[in-house]
Amino acid sequence: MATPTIIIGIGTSGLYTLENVQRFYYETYKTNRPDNVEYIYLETNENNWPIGTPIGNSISRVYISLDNMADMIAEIRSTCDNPSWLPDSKVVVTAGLGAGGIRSCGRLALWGKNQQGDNFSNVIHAINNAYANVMHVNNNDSSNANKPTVFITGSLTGGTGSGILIDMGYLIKHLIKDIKDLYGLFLLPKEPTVIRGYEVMYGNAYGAIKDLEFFNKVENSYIEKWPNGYSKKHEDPPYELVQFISQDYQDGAPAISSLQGLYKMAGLYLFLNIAGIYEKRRERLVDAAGNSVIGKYGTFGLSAIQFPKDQIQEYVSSQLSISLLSKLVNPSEYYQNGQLRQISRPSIKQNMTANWDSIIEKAFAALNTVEGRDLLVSIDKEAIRINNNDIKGSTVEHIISMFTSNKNDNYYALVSNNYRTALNTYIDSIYELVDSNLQNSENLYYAKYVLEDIIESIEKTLNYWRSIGLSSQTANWDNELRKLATGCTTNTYKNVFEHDPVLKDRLSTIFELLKIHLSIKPLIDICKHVRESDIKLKGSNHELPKLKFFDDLINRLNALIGKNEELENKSISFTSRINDITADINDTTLPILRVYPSGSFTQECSKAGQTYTQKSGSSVCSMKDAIQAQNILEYFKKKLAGRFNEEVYLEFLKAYRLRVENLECIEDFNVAKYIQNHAEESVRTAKRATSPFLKINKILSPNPYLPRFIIGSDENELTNVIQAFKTKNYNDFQDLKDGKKELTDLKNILVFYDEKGNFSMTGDLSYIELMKNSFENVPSGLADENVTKERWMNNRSAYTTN
Amino acid sequence: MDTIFFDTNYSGIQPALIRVVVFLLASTLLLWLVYLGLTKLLFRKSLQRKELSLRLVFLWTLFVYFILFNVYLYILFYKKGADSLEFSNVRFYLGIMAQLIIYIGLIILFFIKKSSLTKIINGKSIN
Repeated sequence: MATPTIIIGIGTSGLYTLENVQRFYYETYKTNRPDNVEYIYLETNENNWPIGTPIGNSISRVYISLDNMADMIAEIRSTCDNPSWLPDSKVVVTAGLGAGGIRSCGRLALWGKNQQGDNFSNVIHAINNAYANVMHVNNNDSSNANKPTVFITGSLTGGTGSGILIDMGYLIKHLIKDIKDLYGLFLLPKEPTVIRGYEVMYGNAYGAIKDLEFFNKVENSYIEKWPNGYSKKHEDPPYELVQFISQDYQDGAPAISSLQGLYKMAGLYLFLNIAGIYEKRRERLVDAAGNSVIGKYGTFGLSAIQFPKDQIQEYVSSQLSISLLSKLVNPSEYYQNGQLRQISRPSIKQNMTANWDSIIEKAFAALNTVEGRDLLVSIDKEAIRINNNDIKGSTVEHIISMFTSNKNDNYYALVSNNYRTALNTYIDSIYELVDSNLQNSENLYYAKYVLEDIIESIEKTLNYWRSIGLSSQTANWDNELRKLATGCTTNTYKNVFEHDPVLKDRLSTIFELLKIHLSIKPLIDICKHVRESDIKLKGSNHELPKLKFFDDLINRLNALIGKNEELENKSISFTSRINDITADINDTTLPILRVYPSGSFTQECSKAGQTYTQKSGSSVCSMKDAIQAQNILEYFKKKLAGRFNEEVYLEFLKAYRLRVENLECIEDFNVAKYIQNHAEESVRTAKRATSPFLKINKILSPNPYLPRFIIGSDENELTNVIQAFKTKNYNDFQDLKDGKKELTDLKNILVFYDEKGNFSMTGDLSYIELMKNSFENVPSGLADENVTKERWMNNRSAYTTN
Repeated sequence: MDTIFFDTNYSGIQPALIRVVVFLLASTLLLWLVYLGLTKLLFRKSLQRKELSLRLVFLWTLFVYFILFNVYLYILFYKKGADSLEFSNVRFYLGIMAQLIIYIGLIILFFIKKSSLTKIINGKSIN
């Protein structure tokens, strides 16, 4: 049975590491995690959210808010016996975003509660949930092999990770009583070339290492009263083993060029643990601990030879997404039935004029009936009554009373009270017109032009109505009505016996003019709604779209495909992702050798793209690829109301990744075979695994008790690889049971792993003195006079460990 | 009957005026009859406003009447012979004064009615 495992990421670094774990797992097993594993991450930044794989996201986010820090401090002060680590209220005012690089603020985020929620309870709840879930898989097995293991990962440079690493250790031990192992994997800043400007990072990391060292000593205890009222003295160390990694290599090779590379290596390491190497490692580590060759701190070296199928898939999917979004925001061309056509503005205008005529006819017809009563029939009867002289008073006054705005029981009142029906008809018809044109053209400019031109037609109609003397003013209407009523009594055509049809027609004309008079204001409102942002009009089902909606949408989609620079908060875009993938692939500082059947990444991407076109049967991307049967307008409306860039980016990428995958556009590649044919190049990569990701001064000699093995999908092929290495006189990896680990589903990659331990962080880390200096001394030349030495050190300290 | 409708000789102001009045009455009656008939025949299924149809029918009525009147003139001058057409003689014009008034009157009426119809169907008119 696989070990129930919970991986907890702290802060943004923890999130990025977890995303890499999830990605590696998905790439190998087509699920985000096995049933016996849960991912949780604690975040102080409200805007950070996990990015999922094509099948979604399995990382549970726990937001630990730092809003109203002063109130949070007051609350903890009263409920937790005024702990001495609490930050000074004056300090938190200047903390800025998140924990502001202040370690005690990081602790405050874990312990505190505010109007956003009770952080401590939320974290406990998330851990208990995850614990219940992973144990549920093995609920019939109570053997030691199936006790849970927890990995905590994050960076020690900010306030959050360096602040809560000790608390989290003890909290996990408190919540998971039968825990088998609690491991920490923390990221350190690399050996500094320049320390000026980075003192907070190095100072925080030093403070965290110092605190960890303190609690690892048997004579020291952790005594706190937590916000849930729990109070106990913990005498054991917070973690069984804490592994540190940085961008450096111990052997002095050029450091990993980006933090993304480090997250990737941390993610690969954790992924390998949940995929199966954890048990193998643990067997060795138990022996190592028994022989005192590991200690409380560790690190590791990791290298791999990989066919980057996932990156190729993501690259191709990003390109397809760009192609689809470019089609949506193309200002001059659109596709109809797979054919590229020019957007012809005169033709749209002509169509919209005709469409507007039918809309207005429909809207006016909707006003002819009120509560089942046909007003036109009623007006005809009234005409006959007038001609038969069945009315009281003069004909002119009678006609005026039928249509005047001064009465509330005449045709004016009936139509006026029923006007919403016509307004709904206008709005619904315009919406449907824009919507159907967008669905057909899949082009936002086309839909925008449709809206613009229909509004132009409305404005022309309004101008015409004004030119014949009609307006929305009731006084004006009553004046015109008097003239019309008088006109009804002259030249009645009685001499040719046509007086009834003529009067009926004249009264109907007045009725139509009445509708026009009542339509003027709503139509002006419709024009305003479409052109201006502060008016909102809704029909029976939908709100009328605005021109600004299309402008915003086009801008945002352009930003997403890198056509303009308006990226909000440096949020993700397809272009930047493509650049990231290319940079990652070309990054020679990463200990991953990328190999390809066709020789290059570019060729593989191009081949995959061509295969996609062939298998999908179309060279033109369609919105149906990304959003299936959803309505385009409604889809984007919903997205604009949420986190547009992230959501659209993820959904389009996921959709295309799934399509690329389902169409099998990229085939697997036998990396072991490649290694056997390119042994020399492969040996160079394997050697990199023996140099751990940490600048330790101490020579960490190979030790048979410490795990060192090759991981691949087939044990026989691993043997062949080791044999191939031997032919090149390379013997770091032995053809022994302990030297190989078969993970049958691990396609397209072969990993070399070497674990190191038995060193002291405060004694052996090559740049520990620089870190200590950053911890103890205020950086020179700080303009802020408030930063005294005492305040600086307080900000770098979170536990009473002196 | 013959002296009123088929005589072109001028025999004094009084008989000439009587002829003018009779012609006007007869024309009005005929116009009404044609108009009445055409209103029941033309544009019955038209979707345009009734008043416009009726005004258009009246123009057609004038046109029909104009044709009928020309047929009458042809018969008149055919009966009287070519010798009776003394265009240089003032008495000839006085003799056909009634026909002339109706002829010119018809043309003027046609253009007046056409102009008023144009005004009504003009885009800037509320009527």
